[in-house]
Amino acid sequence: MAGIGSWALVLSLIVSLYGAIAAFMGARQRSRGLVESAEKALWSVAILVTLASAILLYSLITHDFQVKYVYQYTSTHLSPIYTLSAFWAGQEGSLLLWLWLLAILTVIVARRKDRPGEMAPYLLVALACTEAFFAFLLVTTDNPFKTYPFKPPEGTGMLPLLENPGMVLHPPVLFLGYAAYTVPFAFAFAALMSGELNTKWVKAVRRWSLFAWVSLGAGILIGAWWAYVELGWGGYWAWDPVENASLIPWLVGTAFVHSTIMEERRGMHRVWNMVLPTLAFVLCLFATLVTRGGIVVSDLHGFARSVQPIAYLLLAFMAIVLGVSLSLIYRHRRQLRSDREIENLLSREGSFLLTNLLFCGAALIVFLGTVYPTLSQALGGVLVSLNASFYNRTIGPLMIAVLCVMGICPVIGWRQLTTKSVKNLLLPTLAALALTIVAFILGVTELFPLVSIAICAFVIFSLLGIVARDAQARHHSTGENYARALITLIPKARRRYGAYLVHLAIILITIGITGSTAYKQEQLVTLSPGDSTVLRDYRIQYEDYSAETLNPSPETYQSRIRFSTTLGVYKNGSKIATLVAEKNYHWVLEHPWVTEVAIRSNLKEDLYVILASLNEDGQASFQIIINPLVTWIWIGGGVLLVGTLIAAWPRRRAATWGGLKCATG
Amino acid sequence: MKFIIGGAIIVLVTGWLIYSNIESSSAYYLTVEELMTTGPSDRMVRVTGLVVGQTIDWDPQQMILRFDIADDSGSLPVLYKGVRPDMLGDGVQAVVEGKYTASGIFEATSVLLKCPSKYTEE
Repeated sequence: MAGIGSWALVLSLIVSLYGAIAAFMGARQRSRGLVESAEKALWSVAILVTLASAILLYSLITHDFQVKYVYQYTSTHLSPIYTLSAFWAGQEGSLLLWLWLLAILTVIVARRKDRPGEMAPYLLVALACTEAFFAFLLVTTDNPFKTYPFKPPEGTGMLPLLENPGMVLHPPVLFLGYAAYTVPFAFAFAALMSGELNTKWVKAVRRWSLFAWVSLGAGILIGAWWAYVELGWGGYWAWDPVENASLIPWLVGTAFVHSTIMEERRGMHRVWNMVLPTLAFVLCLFATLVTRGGIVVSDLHGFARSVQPIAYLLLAFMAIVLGVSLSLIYRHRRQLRSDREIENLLSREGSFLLTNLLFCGAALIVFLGTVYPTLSQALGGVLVSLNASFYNRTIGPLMIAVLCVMGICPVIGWRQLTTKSVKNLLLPTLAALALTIVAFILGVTELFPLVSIAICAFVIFSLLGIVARDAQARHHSTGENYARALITLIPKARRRYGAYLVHLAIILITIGITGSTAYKQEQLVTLSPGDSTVLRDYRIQYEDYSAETLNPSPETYQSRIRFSTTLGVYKNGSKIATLVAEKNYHWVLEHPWVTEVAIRSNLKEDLYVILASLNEDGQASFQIIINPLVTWIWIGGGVLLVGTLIAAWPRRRAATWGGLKCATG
Repeated sequence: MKFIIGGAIIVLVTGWLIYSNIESSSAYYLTVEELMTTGPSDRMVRVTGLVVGQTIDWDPQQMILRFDIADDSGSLPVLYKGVRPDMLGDGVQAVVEGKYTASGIFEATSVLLKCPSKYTEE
C-alpha cells in the first residue's frame, strides 16, 4: 500500500511539472489545447494526491506500523479521532496535507471561468509550480510512506500534548490558510505575466484573499486556544518564534485585504497589491522554515534542532519566488501607477494607507524579533534573545493606532475630511471619553486598560453611529421603521456590514486580551486533602486525590499513571463547580510528566487551576489563576469567522435568498 | 508629498519603537563561566546549562525550588520561587533568566526547559 502512496507522489511531481510547462507554453503560443491539457494535468494531480492522502489515512486507521510514519505517531491506544489527526502530527504528514489542500484549491481555481482571459494559463503556471515544489519535498526529504522491512507489533504513540481537540483542528485550518495564500500570489503573478494589470484581477482575487485570511486567522486562534488549555502555563500567547511565524503572513494578509479595496474602488495601491500577496505567500513558506528548518532559535518548542535539508529547499524556493515576482513588478512599474494621488491624508484613502503601513510595520517588527537571535548569533557571535516585553511594547502601540484608524476610517469620506464627518466622529469620541472617566472612577487606574477601554468604546460607538445613520437614512427615504430598515439594509451592503462585524470581532478580542493581561490574579498554594484556600471571592477546597494506571501494555506514549486531584469551587458559600486537575506520568517518554489543567470558564472570567506537585501523602501544590475575560477572545474568533463569511459569500446566492424573501414576504 | 511624509513618519516611529525597546528587552545568553567572570550584577541575563539531578530540592510548602545547572565551565546554584516545572530532571537543558546576586546564588525569575515536544524523531 505504502508503495502505491510513494508512487502517487512521484507521479504527482511529474504531472504537476508537466502542467506548469504545458500552461506556460499554452500561454505563450496562445494554444487552447495546451492550456486544457494543463488543466487536466492539475485535475490528475488532485486525484493522485488525494489517493496518497487516502492511503496514509488508511495506513493510520489500520495501524499499519510497518509504515514508519504510522509507527512514529500512533499506537493502538489512541482513540480513532487522534489516530486520524496523527495525519498532521508529523512533518511529512503536514506537508502532504498542505499539498492536498493546495491541489484541491487549484482545481477549484481552474474550474472557475469568471476570471479574465489572458491571465488564466499563468495562474495555472504558478499553482502547478507550487504543487511541484511540495511534491518534490515529499518525494525527496519528507516521504511519509517510508517503511520498515518488518512490521513492529506496536507504535510509539502520539505525544500527549498533541492529544487535544485543539490539535485536531489547529493544523488543518492553519495549513488551509497557508495553502490558500498560494492563490492570491498566483493571481498577482498571472496579472504581471499576462500584463493584464487592470483592476479585474483584484476583483477576482478578493474572495480568495478573504478565505486565506480567515483560515489563517482561525488557525492561529485555535493554536492559541490549544496552548491555553493544554500547555498549562496560564496564557495563550508567548511570542514564541513558532507562534510569530504564523502571525507574520496574517499581518501582511490583513494589509492585503484592505489594499484590494483601494484598488477596486479608487484604482490606487496597485504596487502594494502585487507585493503584499507575494510577501504573504513567501512568509507562509517562511513559517514552515521556522518550524521545520531548524534555523530559528526557539525557547519553548523543540521542533527541529539542527539545520535540516528542507531548510535549503525552502530558502531556494522563497528566493526564486521573490526574485521573479519583484523583477516582474519592477518591469511593470509604469503600468502599476495609481490612477489618482491621495489628496488629503485625513481621508479614507489616507487611513487605508495608514492601515497598510501599520500592519506591514507590525509584520516587520515580529519578523525582526523572530530572526534577531539567529542574526545576533550569526553576525555578532553572541546569542541574544528578545523577551515578550519587546513585542508588547512595540506591537502594542501599533495595534492601538490600528484600532483608532478602525474607528475613524469607516466614518470619514473619500478624498477629504468634511465637517460632517468630523461631527460624526465627535459623538463617539465624547462618549468614549465619558465611559473612560466612569471606568476611572470605578477603579480602573492603570494606563493600559484605560487606553484600551477608551479605544474599544470609541470604535464600538463609531460603528453604532454608522449603523444608526444608515437605518435613519433608509427610514427617511422608504418610511420603514428603523428595525426593518436595518434588516433590509444588511443584505444590500453585505461587504460593508461583514467588515463592521469583523472589526467588532477584533474589539472583542482586544477586550479579552486587555482583561486577561491587566487583571490576571494568581496564587501559589500547598494544601492537604480537606484544606481550602481563598482567592478573591472564590473558596477552593482540595477534596481528594487518586492515582490510576492507564494503557499499561504494550508500552506506548499513551501508557501513563494519572494522578488527579479533585477540587470543589465555592462562591458565596455554595458550591459552583468541581474541578479535576491532573498530572500524568508517561513513563516511556524522555520527559514523562504532563500536566492537565482544570478550567472553569464563563463570560466574566476563567478560573484556571494547575496541579504543580503531588506528594505520596496527598499533599498537593496548586497554581490558581483568575484570567478575566479570556472567553471573549474565542467568541471574537467566532464573530470574525461569521463576519468574513457574510462579507465573502457569493452574490448570486444572496440574490436568490433576497428574491425568495421578496416572493414569500 | 504629504503621502511621503506620512509614510516616513510611520517608518520612523516603527524604527524608533524597535530601537528603544531592543536593548531593554534583550536577554543575553551567558555560559556559567562568563557569568562568573562578570560577577554579580543587576542586569537580567539568561544562563544555559544542564540540570544536575542530585541538587534538585523542591519545597512544596514554601514553593521554593533550588537546583544547580552546570556546563563545561562550572556549575551554578539557582533559586526559583514558583512551580516546579514538569520536565525538570537530571541532564535536562535549562535556560534560567534572572539576576546573579552577591550571595553567589542565581535568583531566577523564569526557568525554561527545552521542550521535548519535537515533531520529528531524531
